[in-house]
Amino acid sequence: MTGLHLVTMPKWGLSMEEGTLVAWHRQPGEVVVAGDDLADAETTKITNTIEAPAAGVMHRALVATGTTVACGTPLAVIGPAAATGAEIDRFLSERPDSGPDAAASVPAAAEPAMVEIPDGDGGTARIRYLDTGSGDETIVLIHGFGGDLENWMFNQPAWSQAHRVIALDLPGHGGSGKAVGDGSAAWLATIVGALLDAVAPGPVHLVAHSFGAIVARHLAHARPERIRSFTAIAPADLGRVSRAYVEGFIGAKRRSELVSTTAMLFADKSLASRDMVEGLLRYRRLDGVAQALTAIDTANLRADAADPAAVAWWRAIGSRGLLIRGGRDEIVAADEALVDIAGIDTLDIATAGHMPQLEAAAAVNARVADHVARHRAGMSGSAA
Amino acid sequence: MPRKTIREAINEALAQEMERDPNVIIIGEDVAGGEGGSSGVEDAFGGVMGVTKGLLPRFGRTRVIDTPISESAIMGMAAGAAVTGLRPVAELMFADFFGVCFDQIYNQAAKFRYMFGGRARTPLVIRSMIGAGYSAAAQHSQSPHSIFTHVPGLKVVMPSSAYDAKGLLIQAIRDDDPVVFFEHKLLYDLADEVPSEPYAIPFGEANFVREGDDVTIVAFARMVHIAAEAADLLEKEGISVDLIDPRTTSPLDEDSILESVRRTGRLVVVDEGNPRCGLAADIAALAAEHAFHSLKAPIRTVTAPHTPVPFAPNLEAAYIPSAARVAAVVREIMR
Repeated sequence: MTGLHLVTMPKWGLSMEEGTLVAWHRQPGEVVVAGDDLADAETTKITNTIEAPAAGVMHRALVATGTTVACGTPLAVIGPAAATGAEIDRFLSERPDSGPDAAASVPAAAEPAMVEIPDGDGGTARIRYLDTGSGDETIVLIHGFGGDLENWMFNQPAWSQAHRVIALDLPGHGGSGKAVGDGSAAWLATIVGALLDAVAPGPVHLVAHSFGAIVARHLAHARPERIRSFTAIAPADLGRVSRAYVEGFIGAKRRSELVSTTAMLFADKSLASRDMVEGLLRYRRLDGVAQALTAIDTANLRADAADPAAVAWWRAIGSRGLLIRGGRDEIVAADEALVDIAGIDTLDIATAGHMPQLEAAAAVNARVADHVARHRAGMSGSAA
Repeated sequence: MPRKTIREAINEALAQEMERDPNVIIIGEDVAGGEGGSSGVEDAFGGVMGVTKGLLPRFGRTRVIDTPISESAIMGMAAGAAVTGLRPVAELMFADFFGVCFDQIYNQAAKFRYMFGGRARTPLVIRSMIGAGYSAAAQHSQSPHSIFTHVPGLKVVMPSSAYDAKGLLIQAIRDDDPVVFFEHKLLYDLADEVPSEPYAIPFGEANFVREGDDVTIVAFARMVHIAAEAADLLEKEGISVDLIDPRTTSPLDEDSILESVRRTGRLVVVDEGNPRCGLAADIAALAAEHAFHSLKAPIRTVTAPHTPVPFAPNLEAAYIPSAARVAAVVREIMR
């Protein structure tokens, strides 16, 4: 029987080994279309929704609510209504990843790589990046202040199905070296540009979040020939950045303070899980992080209003630009200057906070995939 | 993220700090692998538990210093080196041996800053092994951390994981005061995720091992794992445990303990030390003084009895606080 699709426990992020199925949104026998919410799965870090990969009837729910299973474990079968029980049994038994050793046969998850880049001052910058998928188009993901490549854990796997996707840790962040030069977005953009020269020559699609969008803008400005499209999620240069957040993130002494600071990122406060906060605490303890964050803050995040250069940039980029914002963003305050770029292609997600790529991953994934498709090689839009 | 044992985490912390700061030196019995023997083998042991192995070939005999079996010489020399600007990491092989060198620690190193009007710094780390469970008898199995915690001028660290061991030891080496760093001898092979980069965990910052609503358990070093086992048992009975590992006994993260007790209304302190004038009694008193009106049940402690550590394995097993004992005490105060 062709047309049967297996839904498995996804692997979100580098450290996820298992997930708990916390709720089924659909029951066996129900009709679904691609993108429908099938189930919610929870990791120690975060809860997210698993979507139907294709249209059809949901034939099996293979895992009971409340069960914890390894990544890659089959959860459901979706396919034509005409599929018989015997056909589904055969489909499951023929799949190497549906037996009792399912977890062992899941392809090894991509591991991040390290590369050394000349830092322009006679030294080298060590940059960690995660390179997944393949295709004619390359998407480059740049996280925000205090983030890392795992901020894209709900997005990178989706975009990797059709494209090459490179998520990087900015200098001072994640697994990259902690030196940040003068802390300016321009310096960081130089390093990101050198990384791309080393691992991804040719034009790319930039997708950047918050402070990362400032870095991306500097990169796109300095290296226009390298950029096919430009997506900014909650860019930090189109409004005033919350001092409470930045100072709390750098300086919170007690864990409980960091919990409330982290919660500012989300509309749904429960997303600031204990594992997420523990991860941030561990990051902040690394040698050099406090200095790196302070330098980046001082150089980039102290403005009271939108950066006129950013507004001008959005006016100039035209249809290649995509702006994604959460309606409940507590970190970057919307600015009147946005009126000036009212014509820009925008996805506003009313229910999301500062990280719509986590809180509304499906909507962001679909819109960015569409934007990349419209600006892929040879499309007229890419010449704009 | 690479997984490392506590042994490897401590070795990595020492190596990275010696790399970073040429003033960091190591002093102790057999730390360079046992000098004075006739084998001629360099770096044979790296201390009795192999913790310092590999440091001698890397940093040489001027920085990895084997000593005669004289704890008073080790501690006196390390305290003196510290006030001259070096950052010695001195090893007291078994904490049980502190009796022969306590003057150097308690009356000398711990007093320098105070008696010299704040003008002396004593960046000394004393690494030492504690804990029962090896059937090593009464002179090699004790947990005398409460005695060190009692001394003003000493900071006392009791890591329970490899991540904490590395970050707390780096903090200890960078600290300008004498720090006693206790390693539990049954935990050396315990492994967890440890970043390769150097990092420091501030003293006085508790780790929230797991969160719960019904009872607060405070535990240190190996007892954190015993308490976690008890929490697993209790969870099946519908009792949720807020497990706090303060990481350091001095300074003590009193705020985190009190915050938790005020929320749960119940406190059990688990400690491998003897009960009289000990750490468990100290933390119980803290909660009685500052969170009395939040308490729904008596504060309880689970400790070793007021006896030496037995040699006989069955008696030793009964001596060490067990998960079953901790769970039983929690059930009593949940009634």
